[in-house]
Amino acid sequence: MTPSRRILFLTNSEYGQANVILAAIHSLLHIAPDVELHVASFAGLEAPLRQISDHAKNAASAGSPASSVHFHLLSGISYYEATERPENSINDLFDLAPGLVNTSRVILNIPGIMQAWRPDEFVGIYRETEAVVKKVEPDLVVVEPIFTPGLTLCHHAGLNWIVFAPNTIKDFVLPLQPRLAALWKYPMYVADRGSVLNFKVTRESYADTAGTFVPIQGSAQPCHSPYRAI
Amino acid sequence: MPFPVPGYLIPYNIFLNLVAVYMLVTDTRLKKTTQQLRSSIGADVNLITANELGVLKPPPPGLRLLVSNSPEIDYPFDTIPPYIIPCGPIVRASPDVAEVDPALASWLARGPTIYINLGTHLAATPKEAADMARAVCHLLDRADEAGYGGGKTQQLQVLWKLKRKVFKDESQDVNDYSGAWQEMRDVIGRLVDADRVRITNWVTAEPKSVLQSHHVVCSVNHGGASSFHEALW
Repeated sequence: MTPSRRILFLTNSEYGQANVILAAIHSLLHIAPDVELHVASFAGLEAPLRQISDHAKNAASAGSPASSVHFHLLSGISYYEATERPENSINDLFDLAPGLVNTSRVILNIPGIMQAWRPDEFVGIYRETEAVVKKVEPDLVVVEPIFTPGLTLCHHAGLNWIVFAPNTIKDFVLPLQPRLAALWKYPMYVADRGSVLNFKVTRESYADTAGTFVPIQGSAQPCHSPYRAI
Repeated sequence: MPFPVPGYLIPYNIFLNLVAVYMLVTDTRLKKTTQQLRSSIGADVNLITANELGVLKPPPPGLRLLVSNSPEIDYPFDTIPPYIIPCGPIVRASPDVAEVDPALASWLARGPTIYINLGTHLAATPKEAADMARAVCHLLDRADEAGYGGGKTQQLQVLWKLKRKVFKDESQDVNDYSGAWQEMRDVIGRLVDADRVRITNWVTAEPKSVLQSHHVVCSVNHGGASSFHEALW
């Protein structure tokens, strides 16, 4: 029997980061039951994963292989809990009204967003993740962009990996735009979080957009993007 | 800040970029983490954060990024590198609200509903909540005056998921209006009693389940990507 392919997802447990991974797992369980799915994350993600797994088992018809996803617990504290510590002031800064001083303060604390843990904790999570990788021996590792221990590990260990981001495209392409457009054309990163989505959008015909994969309850079907910018 | 950045704000935008440069030069958090990594794991480890995926510089060669968004609804760019693969928007499947919470489903069916959910992490002070409550009252009163919804049987109603910012021995229970929360009661109590407004700190159904009930006419949210895409979906 051909051994299954194995995909390992490395993610924080906050929904804002994990939603896209949960959606992908939901779909993969339905359309690729021959692929073994593994997730390494903090405790908060175990319950939603179990729900998705149970739902897929119930939906699988008799005779088809039962799919499930394997959860590997990382025992460090979660990203959000790390940001709530007094030494990481990022949550308090987000409460402030935007303006020159406050926005500058948020920018100066970007490292707290990118790496929320204490250095020794970070290494601990790195090692735990490394142990999961060694145990699972995945064919592909998928990492979300704020799970910094995972990003660091995959790069250092030379794994076959891909980033799966819930972000906007803008978050990753500004330095590449010609004529230093990042300086004068696009609003600076944290002065503008999410405002690209304030473009007027309208639900129009789906005809001419690239197919967008959106999981629909109970089945996975390709679906055209419902948005057209106006 | 608008896009494209208007002329008079360009100096401000450049200033903020310089603040980011200053941050990179003076930050100690990432440096300390790198030191710890190098002494524990190996001298050649590099800390990879989202900054090294494209936020501040291009990602390592060969790495691809699946991005849950679509060029159609993102900013226009002169160049999108081939290693960026837009594959979105993606919303997570969720069960029907009738399966998860039949009582809520019946209540939603009573009339056009506004769903207020500002995300898992945001907590409101009594003053902030009372201010928002005033806006809700004003809206509902105006809606009733205008006969919105078709009269008594189909009135505008509000489902408000509210997380309180509490200190020490204050209560998270949204039905406890003691102390500073009395102002909230004064403002919106009559609408809560009439069941036109439901304030709760926990909704069993996921936001998308509520939204896909087809009874929500307006989603008030914090603008997070999931909330945005779920509302449009």
